[in-house]
Amino acid sequence: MTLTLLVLAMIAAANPFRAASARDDNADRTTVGLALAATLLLVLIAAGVSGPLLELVDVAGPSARIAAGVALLVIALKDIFATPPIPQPALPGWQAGLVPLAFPVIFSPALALLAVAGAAERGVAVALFAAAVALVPAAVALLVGPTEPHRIWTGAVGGFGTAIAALVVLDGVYAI
Amino acid sequence: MSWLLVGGIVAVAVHPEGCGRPSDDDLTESAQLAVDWFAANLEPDGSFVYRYNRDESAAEGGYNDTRHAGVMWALWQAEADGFDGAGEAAEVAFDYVETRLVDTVVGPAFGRGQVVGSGSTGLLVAALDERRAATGRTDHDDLLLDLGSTLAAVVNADGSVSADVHVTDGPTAARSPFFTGEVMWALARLHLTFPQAGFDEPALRIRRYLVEDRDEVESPWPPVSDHWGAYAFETMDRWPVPPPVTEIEEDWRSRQLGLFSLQVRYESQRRGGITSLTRGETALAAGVGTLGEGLGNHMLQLERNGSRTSDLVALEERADCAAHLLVTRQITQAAAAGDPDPARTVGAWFRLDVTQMDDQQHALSALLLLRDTRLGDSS
Repeated sequence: MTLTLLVLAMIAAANPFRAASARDDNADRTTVGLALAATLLLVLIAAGVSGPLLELVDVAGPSARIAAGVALLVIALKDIFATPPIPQPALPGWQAGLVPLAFPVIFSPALALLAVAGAAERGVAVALFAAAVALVPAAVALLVGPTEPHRIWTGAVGGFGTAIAALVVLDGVYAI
Repeated sequence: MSWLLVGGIVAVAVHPEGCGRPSDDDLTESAQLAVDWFAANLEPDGSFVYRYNRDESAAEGGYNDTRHAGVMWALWQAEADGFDGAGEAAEVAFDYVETRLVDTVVGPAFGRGQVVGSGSTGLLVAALDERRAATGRTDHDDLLLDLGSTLAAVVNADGSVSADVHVTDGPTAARSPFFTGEVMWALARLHLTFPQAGFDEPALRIRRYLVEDRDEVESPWPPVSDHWGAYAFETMDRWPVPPPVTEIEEDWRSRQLGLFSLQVRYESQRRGGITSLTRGETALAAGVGTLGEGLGNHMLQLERNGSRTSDLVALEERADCAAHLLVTRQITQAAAAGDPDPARTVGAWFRLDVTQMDDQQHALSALLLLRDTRLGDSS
């Protein structure tokens, strides 16, 4: 999986319009910044445990990429067909950046598996870098986007995500 | 909710892989058991028990000359590696061949009836050439050269290979997914043994066709994972002047390595129980063996040339996995203790209670090749 594909897959996994739809009106820059930092921390943890985790579950790197692609496909289809999330009951104040923004909205299972698969193939630092780049669109959407459901745009990124998911799966299928 | 949904779907898509790394001794013991199976299942006329049903404790009918030649190749391969009893069994197996050499308009071929397969002749050449290498005996050289002429005649102008030779009409228009690689390998071996005989030209013609046209012309989908082609490439790499690997050949090899690896990973997910529903029954040992053969040959070539070193670690993992699957699925003395006729079962691989001699053949060849890759025996 190339770095470009990993970044694109992570953008789709952290669908910026899904994130913006779930943002509470009261969420300020601090809350958004905390959400992104917390997401990156979760990515770092997922990437860090990648090796031992895959060994524990007896899954080779290419198969992990297939798993990540399948997870992205499910999440992308959900983004296409399901109603975007609305602001959920959140932890008070800045902690809303942790729940629900970082988890479960941005740090989706697809992002988690992409971090695991990406780190297994290209190392923890690359996976973290890819996530940092991929979270830029989410940051922009969270900071400047209107706080209302973005059904069409969430679905559009979902459509993009299904294509990227297929590429990630194929990358795992044809790998050694 | 998303996490549960995704987790459930991913669990169906990707299962744990039951891989491992058998020790060198495990590989040696498993290969010796396979050799012993052939020795114990050799008939007086030089044929082998072709198919055996363990549940019914009965041999089943049928025979296949191409597989007979393949068994001879595997036994001579084992003899060259010093395994007990392999050469003796292979010599007796030649008795079966001697009575089935057919004169066709393009030369002698191994088989029966009016239409004889080119694959059986190709694998016979590989076997006899391996015998020559293992023993130093040259008493079959004339036969080897004659069979080589036949094989050169089944190679068409575009590099495709006629799968059959009609005794009076010559090569037919039939094609086979495996005979192309078998004939290419045989001709490649002959050029190595008899460099002045001109077998390199038809071998190279096949090589171009196999890489550039074969899948498109003969089997658009799925692409053939060609272990015989891997043997041929590995052999050509040992020619006095090896042909350079072109960009298109490197792409082909990448696809082949991906195919072999994918199949190993998939097979390793078949662990019985619920995986029978999601992955089906375990594959034939012959099939798993071909994966090891394909990987082993490509690895030997890559190791020899010091190329694609970044891929070798992953390739070794897949090769170890294929070997692990073979070693752990073989019937051992202990597992056969309750069988009414353990000689038919010890050392064999069964699928749905049936084994066929090519299960032992491909598994044996794979184990020996993977043993060679570990020993760094890429000469």
